[in-house]
Amino acid sequence: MNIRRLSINGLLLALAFVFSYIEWLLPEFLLIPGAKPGLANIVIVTALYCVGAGDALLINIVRIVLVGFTFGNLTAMLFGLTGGLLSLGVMTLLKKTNRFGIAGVSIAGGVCHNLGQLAAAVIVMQTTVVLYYLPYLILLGAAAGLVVGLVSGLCIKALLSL
Amino acid sequence: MIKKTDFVLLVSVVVAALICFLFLKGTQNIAETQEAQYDVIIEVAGEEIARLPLSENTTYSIDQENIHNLVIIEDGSVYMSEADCANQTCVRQGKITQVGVPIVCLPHQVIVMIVEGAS
Repeated sequence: MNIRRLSINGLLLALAFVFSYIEWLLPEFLLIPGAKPGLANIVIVTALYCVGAGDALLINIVRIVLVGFTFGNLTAMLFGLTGGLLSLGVMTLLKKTNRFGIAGVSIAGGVCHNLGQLAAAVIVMQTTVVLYYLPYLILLGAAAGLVVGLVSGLCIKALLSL
Repeated sequence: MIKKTDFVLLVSVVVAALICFLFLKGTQNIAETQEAQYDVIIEVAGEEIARLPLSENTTYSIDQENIHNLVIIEDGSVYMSEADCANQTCVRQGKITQVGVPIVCLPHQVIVMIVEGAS
């Protein structure tokens, strides 16, 4: 890993970590368990477009593990990993098709993040009652993804013109 | 940054969510079917730890290792009155009175729900 790549990835990781911390401070104001705006995904989407899928994956995994140890617990980390990996996987595939804009890729990512977390909840809590939240989580994931996508779009434009 | 296909994607996601709403609207109002007996189930990490009748006013305290939740059954409704978790989402949710709408305390993996009784 050369110095340029190392420092850019380090910066992105630090930024993602700070966003995760801010989000940890926010209450779940919509009263839906686990529903958060996903601010750190601004960094992940930006990373996907600016440094590539491999490094974005690396940053995301390190972020989730660090945040899990710092603010959460093992279960929170598991939720983060299933959501984060599914989301980034789908976003990478959609980006590769070249048919979608950043907004679309990010919307799919937001929805898949929530689907992954809900799947983890079903497995961990061994119940399907939590599926009650499925439609809410799909809509919120799409809304959060749209906002994250638009903000990331501005960041990507600014970064790539450096 | 935004392509036409993005709108198609957004609309299909919203449609998918609406379809889910239709399928999952299995919630029942207790008042409509008062004859039946209803129970309150309390689960921790997928394990049922208590089953209490909805008709009796009771207080149930969940105390395990690092978790404390206080469930209160009152006049045919259930609510979480205390939880020593960070987000307090379950406490702020307030009372539930319907079958199919759970109270979930995600950090403690606690689920409280109303079900139709066995009797």
